[in-house]
Amino acid sequence: MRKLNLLDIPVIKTGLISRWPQLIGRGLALAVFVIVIGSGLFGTPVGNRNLSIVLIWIAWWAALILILVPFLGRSWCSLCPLPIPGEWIQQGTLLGPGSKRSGIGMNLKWPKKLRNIWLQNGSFALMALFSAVILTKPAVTAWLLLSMIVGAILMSLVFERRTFCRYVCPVGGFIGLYSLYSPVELRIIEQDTCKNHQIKTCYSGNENGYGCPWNVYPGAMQLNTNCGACFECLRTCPHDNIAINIRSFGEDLGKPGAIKMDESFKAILMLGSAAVYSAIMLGPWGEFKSAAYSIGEYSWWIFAGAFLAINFLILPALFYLAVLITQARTTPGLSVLPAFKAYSGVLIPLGLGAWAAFSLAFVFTNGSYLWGVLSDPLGVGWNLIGSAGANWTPVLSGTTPGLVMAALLFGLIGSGQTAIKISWADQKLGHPWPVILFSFVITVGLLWLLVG
Amino acid sequence: MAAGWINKEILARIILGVIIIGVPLGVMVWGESTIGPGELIKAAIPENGGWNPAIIKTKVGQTLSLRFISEDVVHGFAVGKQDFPEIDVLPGEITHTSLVFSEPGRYVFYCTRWCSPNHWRMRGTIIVGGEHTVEQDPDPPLYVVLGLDIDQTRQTVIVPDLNPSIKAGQEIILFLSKAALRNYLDPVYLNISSPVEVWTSIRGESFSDDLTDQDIWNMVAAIWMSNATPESLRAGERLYGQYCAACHGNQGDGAGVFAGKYSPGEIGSSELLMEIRTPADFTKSEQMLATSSTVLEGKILRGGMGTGMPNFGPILSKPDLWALIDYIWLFQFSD
Repeated sequence: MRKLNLLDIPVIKTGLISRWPQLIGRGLALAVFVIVIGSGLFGTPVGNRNLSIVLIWIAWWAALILILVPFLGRSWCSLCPLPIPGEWIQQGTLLGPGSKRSGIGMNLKWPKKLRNIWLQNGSFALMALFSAVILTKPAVTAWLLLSMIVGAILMSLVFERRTFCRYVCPVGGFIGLYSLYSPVELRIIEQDTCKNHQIKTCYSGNENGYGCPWNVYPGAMQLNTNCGACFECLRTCPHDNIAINIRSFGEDLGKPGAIKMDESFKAILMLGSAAVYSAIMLGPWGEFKSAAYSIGEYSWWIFAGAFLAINFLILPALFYLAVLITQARTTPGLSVLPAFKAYSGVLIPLGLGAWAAFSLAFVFTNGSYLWGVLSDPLGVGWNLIGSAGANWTPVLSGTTPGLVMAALLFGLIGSGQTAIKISWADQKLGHPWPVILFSFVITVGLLWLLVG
Repeated sequence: MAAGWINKEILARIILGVIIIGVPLGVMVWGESTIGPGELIKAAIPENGGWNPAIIKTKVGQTLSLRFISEDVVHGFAVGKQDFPEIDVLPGEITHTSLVFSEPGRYVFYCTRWCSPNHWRMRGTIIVGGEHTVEQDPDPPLYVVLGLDIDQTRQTVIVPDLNPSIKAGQEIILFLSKAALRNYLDPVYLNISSPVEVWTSIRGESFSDDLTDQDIWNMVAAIWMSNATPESLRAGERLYGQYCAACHGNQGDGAGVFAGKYSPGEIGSSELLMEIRTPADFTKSEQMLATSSTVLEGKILRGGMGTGMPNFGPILSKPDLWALIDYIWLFQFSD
């Protein structure tokens, strides 16, 4: 059955091909980013009264996890302000290359050994280790964002395309992985058209647009992972051979080679982080919270060690064990690692459900802080929209546990469906029940952490 | 064609510049225009700077508008010896207040919430300018008039077996002639004497020959509290809870929640405190019964030199001070 191509809707096609809407959107995102950094650096250090904390770690995070990633994949990357200044410097123009090239930068290629998301795993884990402070201290959030934007600019000056987004950004790694589950995809329409197109302008660029900033050849793209929704290929394809399709959830999962080892570990890291965050941020254990806050102290080192052990040793070992059992009755001597990678697709809906549940647990409780900071972003007595005195008002308190349970259940169901799909896609893989059991145990654990 | 593209590019850059610089700038200008009147005073625990600014200037009769915001925990604002209502200073929230001073001088404002172990250091000064010169304190405290060394160690071995009972003492006094007790009921005498001095003096009187030592201690308790009223004791209890209990403990035993913070070894060399000493235990008879109300007055007004005990001189009015002292004696004398 032919999928629904959103580009068949003229207004969407025109809006995405034209640079103006994206440019204005990016400009506004950057303006908000400037206000956020200003609030963090010069505003009140009280987190729940400072725009930087409330907008980034409550509003943006919840929007990302609950709406953007599950439904629109990497759509956030399309407007993310972090790489934009660097990209503009690198490209030299705002409205496309035109007939001349005027950008600045060495345009070096990223080292082959680093063409994976291990660095992103590291940067996410590093952020997570300091998250108790990052998520509560506006100045720390501001410095983090500022360092990310400076890092992205420096990388744009040295390396080609959006190397920062693709290989370093701590957020980009998991957005890409989870976008495998989203019901939107950018793909080519006719394979032969691309085969016969000698110049591959979607990769190399032409006067209408840049070669794929994410260093992907759209003609061969089978997965959402590395498509950054920049829409350059829409502009550079002379044959109108790009589609943005609506598809079923999780369609990429189960495709051969969908997930590599670095991405398997990312999926495990995300799942483990959701559990650790739930325990620290929402759990009743004051000692855990104190340990996570006490950076540099003995208790923090224990927390850091435990976090790394859970995410890089214990959970991978448990998942490996589950996969090992699936392989017990299959061809003797078959390596477990390919099955480990293949089955880690199961962790994507599971992790997405876990993060959605975690986000639901805090967004209804703390979302009301947004009204106050929108009116007084720096917490210095402004009253822009008349809601500066808005009190903390948790909403849907009675419903939240049900929503959290529903999110976990959806994650578990998605995970189970994915497990079955993966096992059917490759006959060499064993029966998926141990992996489904793993998902079930994790879900029960998260349910206990989040609902009690 | 090329010229058209350049024009569009320039237009895009201008639009983008306006958005990226103009939006934050516009928000800033707009925000500043919504700020209410008054100087912004930021509050933080003393370890992070206390009041900022800590000196506020105004003039007699002028309305002093202040906006407060806390940068960490809940603080409180009050002006010493004045009747202005206390206000809470909340994290990230602006609280307004307006003050009008009728007399020139220097007024101490202070935090009313136990925000940190060094909470009592969270003070600032309001300098009120005016036409006439500031009158020096016309009524110096008794410990200054008497030239008392309030740091001298005071100790007695004469102590009661049981806590002296005010009620039991009152019943004994009923049977004694008022003339015999007139000197003992003199407020000045009571303020400058210690309970053990009064006890020793009564023990030497002929009318006490038939009384036991405990009877006389009970009498001392009754005499001691004879000038206190239920209202002053209630006020004293409130003030004790507000200013003293965190260190000296609700039971007066020196075991308040911050007491441990003042123990040697608990505070590093980088902390603000100098000599570290545990808070006084008001239940210890050996020391308290050898102490006079005037010594307590001096300790409260001046503070413990080089210890964690702050000076409350600029904060407590005279009635408040003596209500507090009356209440402290209840840790020795039971109802």
